[in-house]
Amino acid sequence: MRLSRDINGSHRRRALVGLRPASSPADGSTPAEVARGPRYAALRRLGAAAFLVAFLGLLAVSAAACSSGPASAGGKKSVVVTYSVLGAVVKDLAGDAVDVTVLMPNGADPHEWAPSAKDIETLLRADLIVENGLNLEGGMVNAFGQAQNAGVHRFVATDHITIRHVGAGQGVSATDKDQAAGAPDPHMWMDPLTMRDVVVALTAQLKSDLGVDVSARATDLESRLTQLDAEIRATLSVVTDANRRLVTGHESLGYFADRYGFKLVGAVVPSLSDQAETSAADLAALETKIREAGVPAIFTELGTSPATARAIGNDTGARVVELTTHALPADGSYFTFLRNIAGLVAANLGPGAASVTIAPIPSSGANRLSLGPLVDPFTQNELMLRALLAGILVSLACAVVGTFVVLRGLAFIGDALAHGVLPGVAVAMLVGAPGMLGAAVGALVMIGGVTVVTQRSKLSSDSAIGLLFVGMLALGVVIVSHSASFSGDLTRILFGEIMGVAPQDLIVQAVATFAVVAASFLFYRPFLLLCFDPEQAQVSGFSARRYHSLMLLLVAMTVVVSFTSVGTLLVFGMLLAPAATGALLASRLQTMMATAVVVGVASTYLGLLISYNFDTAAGATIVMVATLVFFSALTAANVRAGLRRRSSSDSWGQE
Amino acid sequence: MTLVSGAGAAGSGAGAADSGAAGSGAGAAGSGAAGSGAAGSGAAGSGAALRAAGLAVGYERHAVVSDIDVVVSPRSSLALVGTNGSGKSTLLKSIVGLIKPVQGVLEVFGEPPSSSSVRFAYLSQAHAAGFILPLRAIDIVRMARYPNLGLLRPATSEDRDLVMWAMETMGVAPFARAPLRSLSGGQQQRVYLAQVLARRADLIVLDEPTSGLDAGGREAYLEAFACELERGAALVTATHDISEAVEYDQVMLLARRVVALGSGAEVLTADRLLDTFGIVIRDPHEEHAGRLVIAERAHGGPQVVDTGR
Repeated sequence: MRLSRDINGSHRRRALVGLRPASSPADGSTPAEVARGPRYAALRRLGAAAFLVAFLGLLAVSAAACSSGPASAGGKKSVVVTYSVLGAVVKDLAGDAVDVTVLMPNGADPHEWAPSAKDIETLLRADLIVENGLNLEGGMVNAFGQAQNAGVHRFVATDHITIRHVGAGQGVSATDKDQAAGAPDPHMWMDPLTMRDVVVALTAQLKSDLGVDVSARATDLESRLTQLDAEIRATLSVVTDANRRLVTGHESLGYFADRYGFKLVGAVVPSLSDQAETSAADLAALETKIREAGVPAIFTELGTSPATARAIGNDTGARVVELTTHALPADGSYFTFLRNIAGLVAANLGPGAASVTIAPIPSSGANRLSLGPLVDPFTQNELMLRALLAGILVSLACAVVGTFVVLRGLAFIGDALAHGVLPGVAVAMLVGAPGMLGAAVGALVMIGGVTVVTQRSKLSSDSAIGLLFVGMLALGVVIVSHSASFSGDLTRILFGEIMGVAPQDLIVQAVATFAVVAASFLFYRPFLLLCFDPEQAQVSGFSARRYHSLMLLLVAMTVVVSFTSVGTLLVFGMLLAPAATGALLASRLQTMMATAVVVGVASTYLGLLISYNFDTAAGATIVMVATLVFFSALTAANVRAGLRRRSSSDSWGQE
Repeated sequence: MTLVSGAGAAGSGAGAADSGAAGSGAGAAGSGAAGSGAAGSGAAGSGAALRAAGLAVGYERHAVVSDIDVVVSPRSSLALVGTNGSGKSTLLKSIVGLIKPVQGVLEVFGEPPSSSSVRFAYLSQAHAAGFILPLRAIDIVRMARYPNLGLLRPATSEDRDLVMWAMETMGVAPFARAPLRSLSGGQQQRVYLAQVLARRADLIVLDEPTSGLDAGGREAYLEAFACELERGAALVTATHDISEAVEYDQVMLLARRVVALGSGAEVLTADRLLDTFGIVIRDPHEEHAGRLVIAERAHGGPQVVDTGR
C-alpha cells in the first residue's frame, strides 16, 4: 500500500527518506502514554485494533479513492491541519493560497481521535502539517513521525506561544500526573491573543517552507484577533470579580481564564485530557469546592460525562451549561466560536447567576455527626451514596444471575453479551436514543446470532459466540471511531461511570434488579434442572430451550442495566467473581447465591472506599476487589483441602 | 440378585414380569410402596407402555438404528445390549422425546413421546455438571418431584416421604445432606438412581444404570427396580453387562441394527453375541461348560455369562 503510493504519488519530489526507521520507541508507546499509565495504553491499543479493522475495511475504498487525493488539485501546496478550530484560523489566514484540509471531523474529540488509513495517506501527501502540539493529538504521534520521515514539513502551534502551565491550587488533585503543577496546557485556542502569536509564526513558516506569502492576510487577521480580544473583554465585563470562577468539563479553559482574570475552581474530569476516569474522591472534593465558592454554573464540554455533571448539578444546585470548546459553530468561524463561549460565560456567571442558589454544604463541620472514615464518605456525599446504592443493586442482580452463569457454564456468552452491546450503544448514541435501549437491542442480536450460528453451522457454541463477540466488538469500535460526535463515550461505555449515577438511573436499576431476582426465584426449579442436566429438564417437562433462552435474557438484562454504572468490561467481572467465590465456598445453591451477594456488596463498598481514599478509578476498583476476594477464597479453599487431606478424616467416607 | 427373581424376593408378583403382556399383574398394582397413585394417570391403562414399529432413530435424519419393532408392556422390562456407539443411547433419548425419530412409529402409552403426558424417569449416562454444582445429595433427589410440583407449588409431606424413601432404598439416606461432590462415583450413581425412584414414573428409561456401582449397589438397584415393575412401571435399560441383561423380560441386541430381540435365553447365544460384540470365546475350562465368555475390545476384561443352557 505504502510502496504503491510512493511510486504513484503525483508530486513525489521528496526522496524516499522513509527508509529510516520510524522515530517512535520500539514498543510503539509514546512517552506521554507511558506517563498516563497502563489504562491509557490499553485504550490506545484498543484504538490500534480498531485502526486495523478500519484499515482492512477501507483498503478497497482508499484504493479506489487514490486518484482523488488532496494534493492533485491544480498544483497548489497542500496544508493539512489536524483539528477544526485551528483549521478555521489557518483557512482564514491562507485564503486561496494553499489547499487547507482539516483532518479530524468538526466535533471529533482530539484527545481520543485516531486516524483512519485514509487520513494517514492524507498526512503523507501533505506539504505541511499544522498541529496543535502538547499531546493534544495523542492518537496521531506515530502518523506524524511517519509523515516527517517522508519529508512532510510540520508546524507545531504550541511551539510558538507562551505555554500556560497548570498552576498550583487550581482545583486539581495532586495525585493526577497530568495535573501536577507545571503540566503544559494544550488548549491554546481559547485565547485570541495566543492564537495571534500562532498566526505570526505560521505566516513565517508558510513563507520559508512552502514559499507561500500570506503576509497581507496575516496583518488583517492579526488585527481582527486583537479586536476580538477587546470584544470579549467587553462581553465579560458584566461578570463581577467575585463571580469569575470556572468549573468546566475538563481543564480546557486555562488560557481563557488566565487572559480574562478567571479562577479555575475545578473540573468534572480533573485532567487536561478528558480521558481520565473520575475518582470518587475528586468528585466529592469538587462538590465541596463548588459549594464553598458558590459557583453558579458548571460548563460541560465535549467529552464531559453529562451524567456526572448533571449529578453534581443536582447535588449543588449549580446550573449545568454546555459549552462548545472543541468544535466550530455552524458558520465555521473561529470568531463566532470564541464569541459564543464568552457570551455563555457572561450570561451564566454575570447577572443571570443571581437566579441560581447554591446549596450550602449540608450542616458543615463541627456539628456534623461523624461515624468514622468507613461511613462518612457515604453519608457526607450524595455522589458516593448513590454510587454505593447503584453498586449494591448491580451486585444483587449480578450475584443471582451470575450464580446460574457459573453453574451453567455461560461465562463466555456472558462476556460476549457484555461486549456485544457496544455497537447497540454506539448506534443508539448516534441517533440520540437512550443507550440502554441500544444495549438491549445489541444483546438480543447477540443472543439471536449465537443461536442461529450454532444451529446453522456445525460449529460449537464456543466458536459461534467467539465469532459474534469479536464481530460485534469490532463493529462497535468501528462505529465509534468513524463517528465525529463521539467523545469520551467509548471510555464511558467500557468502564462505566458509577460516580455519575443519577437518581432516575437508580430507579431503573432497582426495577431491573427486582425483575431479575424475581425471575430467578420464579424459575428456580427449571433453572436448577438446567444446571444439573438440560436433558433432565426436558424430560421433566421444562423445555430446555425455552428456559435456556430465558436465562440468557436475564444475563442480557443484567448486563444492559449495569453497564451504565460499572461499564461493559466490568459488569462481566461482577457477574463472575462473586458467584465463582460462592461456588467455591458453598455446598448449597442458596448459600452460593447468598455468598455471591455478600461478596458483591462488600466489594462494592470496599472498592468505593478505596477509590475515595486512594483516588483510583471507582468502577475498576470495585471489580478488582471482587476478583481479589475470589482468588483469596480459592487459596483458602486449597489450603483447607490440603489440611483436611493431611488429617485424612473425610467425614463422608469412601465406599 | 436378579431383576426378575428380585421381584420374587420382594414379595408378591414374582413371575409377573415374565408373563408381562397386559399385566397379569397380581392385583397389588404397586400401591405397596409409598403410594402417590402413580399409575393412575390413565395413560398407563392403555396397553403398551412402549411401542415401536418400523422405527428408525438417529440424529438429523441420519438413522443410527433402523427397523426397530418392539412392544414393552407395563410391569415389564427391556434391556438394550450393545457396544458403545451401537445405538442404545440414541434409542433411549428417542423414547423420552429428546430426539425425534427419523422414521416409523414410536409411541409411549399410545402417544408420541414429545407430546406425551406420561411420566418419564430418565437417567442419562453422564452428569457433567455434577462435580461443580453446589448441591447436596437430597437436593438432587428432590428434583424428581419438580415435574409434579411445577414452578412454585411447595413440596408436600408426601413428596418429602418419597424422597426419603428413595434415598433409603438406594442406601444413600446417610449422605442426604452431604455435598454431592464429596461423594464417590458409586455413591453419586446411587443418588441419581434414587432420583429416578422418587419420580414414581410410568416409564423408566435408564442409560447404564449400574456403571460405577459396587456389588451392594447393583443388588440394591435390581431389588428397587423390580419393585418399580411391580408397582406398574415399565423399564427400558441400556447396558453392556450381559449377566445383567439376562434378568430382563426382553433383551434387544444392538449393533447399529437390531441383531436379535427376545427373552434373554433366546437372544444371548454365542452367534448373536459375536454379531453384537465382535469376539466370543467359549470358556475353555471344563467345569464352566455351557458358559460363554465375551471378550469385548471396548471394555477390557472378558465377561462371563450363564445363558442357562
